[in-house]
Amino acid sequence: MGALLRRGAPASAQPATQLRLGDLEVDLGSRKAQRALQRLDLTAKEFSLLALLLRRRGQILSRTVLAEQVWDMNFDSDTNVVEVAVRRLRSKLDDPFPAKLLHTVRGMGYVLEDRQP
Amino acid sequence: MLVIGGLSLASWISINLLVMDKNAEQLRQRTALISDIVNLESQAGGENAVLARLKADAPMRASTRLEVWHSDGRLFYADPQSGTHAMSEHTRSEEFAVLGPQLGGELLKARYTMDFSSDARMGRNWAVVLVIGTLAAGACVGFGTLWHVRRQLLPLHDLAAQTRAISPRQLDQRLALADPAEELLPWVEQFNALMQRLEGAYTQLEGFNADVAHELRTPLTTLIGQTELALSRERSSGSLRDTLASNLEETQRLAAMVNDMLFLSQADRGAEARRGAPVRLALLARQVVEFHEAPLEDAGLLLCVEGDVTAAVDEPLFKRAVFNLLGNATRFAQRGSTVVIRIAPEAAEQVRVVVQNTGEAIDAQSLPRLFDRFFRVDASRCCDGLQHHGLGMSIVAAIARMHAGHTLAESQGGVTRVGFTLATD
Repeated sequence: MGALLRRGAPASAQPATQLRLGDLEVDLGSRKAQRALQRLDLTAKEFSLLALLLRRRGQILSRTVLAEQVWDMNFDSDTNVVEVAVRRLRSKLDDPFPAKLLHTVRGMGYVLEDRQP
Repeated sequence: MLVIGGLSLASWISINLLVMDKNAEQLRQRTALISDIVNLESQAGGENAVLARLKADAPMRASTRLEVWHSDGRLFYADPQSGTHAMSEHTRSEEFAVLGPQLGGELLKARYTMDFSSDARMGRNWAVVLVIGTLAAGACVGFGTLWHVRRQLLPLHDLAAQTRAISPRQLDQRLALADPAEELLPWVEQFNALMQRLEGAYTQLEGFNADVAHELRTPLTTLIGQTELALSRERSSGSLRDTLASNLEETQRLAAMVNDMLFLSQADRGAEARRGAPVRLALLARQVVEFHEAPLEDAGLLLCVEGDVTAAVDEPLFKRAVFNLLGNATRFAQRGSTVVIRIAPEAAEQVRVVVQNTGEAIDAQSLPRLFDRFFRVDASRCCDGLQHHGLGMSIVAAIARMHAGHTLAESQGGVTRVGFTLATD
C-alpha cells in the first residue's frame, strides 16, 4: 500500500501526507478527511478508496482496479460491490455539497476531479 | 468324473474279491468231497475201486483237473490233460493229502486244480462295463454342466443386447433381468445406478447449454437493438457516447459470464488450486467482509467471523468463494439479522467454511440444486439492482473441488447455512 501511495502521489508542493482537491482535504497521516472544513465520517476502507481516487485524480479507475487496490480482491468479482461502496462514499463526500467531485464514467469506472469551471 | 471313476474301481475290486472268495470256497468243498470219495472207495474196494471211481467221475470234473500221487512220488491217478480237463492260465489249485485205509494206510498226495477262466472273463467284462459306464456318466455330467452354464449365462447375452441399445438419446433406459438371477442382480443394480448418475450429469450439461444460450441471448439482443437504434438516424456525439457506454457495460457483463464459464470448465477438467503459504483463513474472510462492507450496511446486516484455521489455500480462490457465499447470504438475509462466517477444522485434515444467515428458509427441494449452474432459488427475490448471473454458487463448488473439498447446504427454521470444505494439505 505504501508503494502505491508513493507512486500515486502527485508532484506538487504540498506535503506528501496532505492531499487537496477543491475544498476537499485529506490527511494521509492521521487518516482524516474534511470538506469545506466539515469532517467526513468515513470507514477505513472508504478512506482508502477516497485516498486512492485522490492520488490518481483525473484518472478513470475501473472497478476491478479499485477492488484490487483498496480491498486486495484480485479475482474477477461481481464488481457491483464496488459500485455500492462508491455510492456510499459519494453520499458522504458529495451529497451534502453542491459541487460534485466523484464522477461515474459509464462502463469505465470512476474518476475524482473538480469539474468546476 | 473322478468320483464316478473311484466308485467304479472300488466296486470292481470288491466284485473280484467276492469272486475270489467264492472260488476258494468252491475249491475247498470239492477237495473235501474228493477226499471223502477216495476214503470211501478205498474202504469198499481197495486201490482198483478208487481208480475206477476216479475215472468214472472224471466227466463230472469238467474244467477241473485232479492229480493223485503215491507218497513215494509215483503217479497214482491223473485226469487227462486234454479235452474237458485242459487248463487255461486262470487256474487255482489246492494240494491236499488223502488217507486210503485199504491202500496199506498210505497217505496219498493230491492236487486239485480248477479253471476259473470264466470268472476272469466275467471280471474283464465287468471292468469294460464299468469303464464305459464311467466314461458315459462323465460325458453326461460334462454336457449337463455345459448346458446348465450356458443356460445360466443366457441373461448376460440379454444384458449385452440391452446395453448395446442404450444411446445418449435414451439415457433413461435401465437394464432389467427377465428372471432375477441373484448373482447378476448387484451388477445390474450398480450399472443402473451408474446410468442414473450419467443421466443426471448429461441432463445437467444439456440444461447448462440451454441456459448459456438463454443467458447470452438477452444481452446480445439488447446490444443489437441499441446499436441499430443509434445508427437508425443522425445522433449527437453525446447520444452516441451514451449508447457506446451502455454497450460497453453489456459486453462487460457478457465477458464476465464467459470468464466464469471458462473458470468452471477449467475446474471441471481437473484444474487444481495453487496453494500458497499457510495463512489464517479468518484474516482472508475478514478482508472479504471489508470488501462486502457496503452491501452489508445497505442491507442492514451485522456480520461476525467465528473460529480460525491456518491452512495453505489458493488465496484469491478462497476469497472468491467466501465472497460469493457472502453475496448469497446478503441477498437472502433478513434485515437487521447477523450473518456469521464460521471457520472450523473438520475431521481428516479438512476445514469447513460456512456462511450462516437468518431469513426465509430455502425449501428442501432447492437445497441440492443450490450449487447447480444458473440455478436461482427464486428469481423474483434477486437482482435488486445487483447483477447476478447465477454462476456464483457453482463457482464456490468448483473452488471446493479444486481444494479437494465439497459443498454443504442446510436450511432449518429460517437459518440457512451454506458453505464448503477444503483439504488442508
